Amino acid sequence: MLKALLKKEFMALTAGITNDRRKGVRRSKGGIIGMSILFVVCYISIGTAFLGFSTAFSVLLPDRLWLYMAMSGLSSLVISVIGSVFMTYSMLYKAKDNDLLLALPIPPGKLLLSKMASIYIMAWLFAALPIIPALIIYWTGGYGATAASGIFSILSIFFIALLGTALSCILGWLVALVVGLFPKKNALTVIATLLFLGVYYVFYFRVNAILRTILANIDTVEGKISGYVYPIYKMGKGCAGDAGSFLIFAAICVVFFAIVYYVLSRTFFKIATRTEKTKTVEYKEKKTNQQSIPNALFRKEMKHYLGSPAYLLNCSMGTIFVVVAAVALLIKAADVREILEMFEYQLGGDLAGLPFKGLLMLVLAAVLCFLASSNDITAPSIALDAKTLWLSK
Amino acid sequence: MLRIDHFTKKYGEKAAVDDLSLHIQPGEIYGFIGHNGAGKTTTLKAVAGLMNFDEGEIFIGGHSVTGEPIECKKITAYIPDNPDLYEFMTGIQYLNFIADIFGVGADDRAERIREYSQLFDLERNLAMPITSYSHGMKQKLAVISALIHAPKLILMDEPFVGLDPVASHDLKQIMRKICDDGGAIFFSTHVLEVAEKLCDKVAIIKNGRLIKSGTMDEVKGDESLEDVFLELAEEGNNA
Repeated sequence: MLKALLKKEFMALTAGITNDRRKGVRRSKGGIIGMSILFVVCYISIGTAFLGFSTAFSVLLPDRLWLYMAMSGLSSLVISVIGSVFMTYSMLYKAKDNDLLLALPIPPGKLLLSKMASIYIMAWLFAALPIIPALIIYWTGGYGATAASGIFSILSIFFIALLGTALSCILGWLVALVVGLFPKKNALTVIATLLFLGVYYVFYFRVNAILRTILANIDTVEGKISGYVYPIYKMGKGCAGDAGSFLIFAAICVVFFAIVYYVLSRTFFKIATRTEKTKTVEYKEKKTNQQSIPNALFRKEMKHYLGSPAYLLNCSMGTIFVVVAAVALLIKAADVREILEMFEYQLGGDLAGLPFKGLLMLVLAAVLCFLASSNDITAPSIALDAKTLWLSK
Repeated sequence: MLRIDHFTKKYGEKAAVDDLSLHIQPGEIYGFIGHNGAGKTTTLKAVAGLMNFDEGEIFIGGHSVTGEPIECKKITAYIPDNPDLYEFMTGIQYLNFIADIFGVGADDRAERIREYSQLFDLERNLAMPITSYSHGMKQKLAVISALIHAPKLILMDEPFVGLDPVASHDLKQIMRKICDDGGAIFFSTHVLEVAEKLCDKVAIIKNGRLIKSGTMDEVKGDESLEDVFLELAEEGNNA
């Protein structure tokens, strides 16, 4: 039974590669191979982004190998949790197949285990992203890599993924709790996504400064990791070749996962069968004005547009960035002016024979047009109508 | 086969089903009819072990749904009104998955899949992904998956919706055969003509309360089931 459940979960995970959803058919062997290669290429491309991160921390090698691996381990844990938390939320707490599976003679514990296995695979893929580049830098940098550190480093991905799975299950539960309490879910999704993007961009633009600060205060960082993130500290020591430390790290991951699994398995039925409270809105008859056809269609489109956070955010980022750019230019006007004056000075007052200020205005206008045109609201609206297009027709 | 004793399910202060009691014997096709939101699906889901309930007890084949859920589910099949099947699977993969969960042997499952897929004219589509199926085809696949482990009790929520006339006729034949072989069927429907012809017994539920139940003759007498249902609905509105 568990084998059948795990097989089903694996099929669901790989469905994007094996099936062509648009045509509703299974891909040919060539198609599956092509999609698999595409996935691997994309995965490696994302992984190479972490090479820069690992290169920056390679100054710790070889004397502080444990800290080097711990930094990779910490980022690995954070990424595996963030990367899999929403999948956890949709798979455990909002799964569409819960009714189907709970009607079958499957013990809730086995059902939960199969779903957590799926989450574990995703967590592993995310966990490997920082660690593998870190290992490549370590092994190819002539730092005297040992077999023990190599083996423990590879194994650490598996245990970090275990820890990440457990943490994302807890976070997913919190997400479910917050979503359940918040009446306007679409607004919550938009706000949460914008907040996340905001934090991400702040971190992205300050990552160099953050890295420099960490490297300049490495003794303090070392103390903080060993004091506050003990499992990662032990992971780092283990990856440096200390077998005892690695065993402690592995035990912590396994025990924590087991505790989370035990608690969830006791409450999984309640979690899976919980129905969301819907507020009853009483209809009150009121007079409405007749709308013209264009107005009626426009109102329908706006309702559709504002009612779908994914549509709103994915297709309207240009509009959001225009507002953000305007605010940023106002707040940081002095900094922007300084940068422009520096450019003008560097270029000797003109650019390719043209007056610098005139060309700059052109460039700024082009930037504004680019931001404004980074909206593609209309084309998806037709696709999103999909099965309801017949109504308009 | 199925005993529902004083079943009550509340959502907040509102009782979706209030003090419902029903007994279904082996060999009976039991119809469950009521208006939208009457509590039919809530009752079926509680019997299928998909929700906790506030009061009462439900027994399937002598096993308690709350105390021995796995034992109950081994002998039960549940077909919801809008089955959410795994679109990433082909029809045959889905049937094999269900058969694996119920531990149906290779020979038995092959025989049953062949029999029911030929009966429902779905055999040539079994290799296609479910995502390419129409609603009626998904409904047929859900019915086949429910029959694959030869259940003793089948729970069906609006089983005839989306089925073509031939498939509807075949499903009725299968339902009769299962009950003649000692099984029992408890299903909800809005199609009163079908209930009238097919069911041995019927229960009418309104606003969560059972208002009438018994054999078809006891419930409808000389009138049609539709007339009885409308009269009872009118009585409730005037009360």
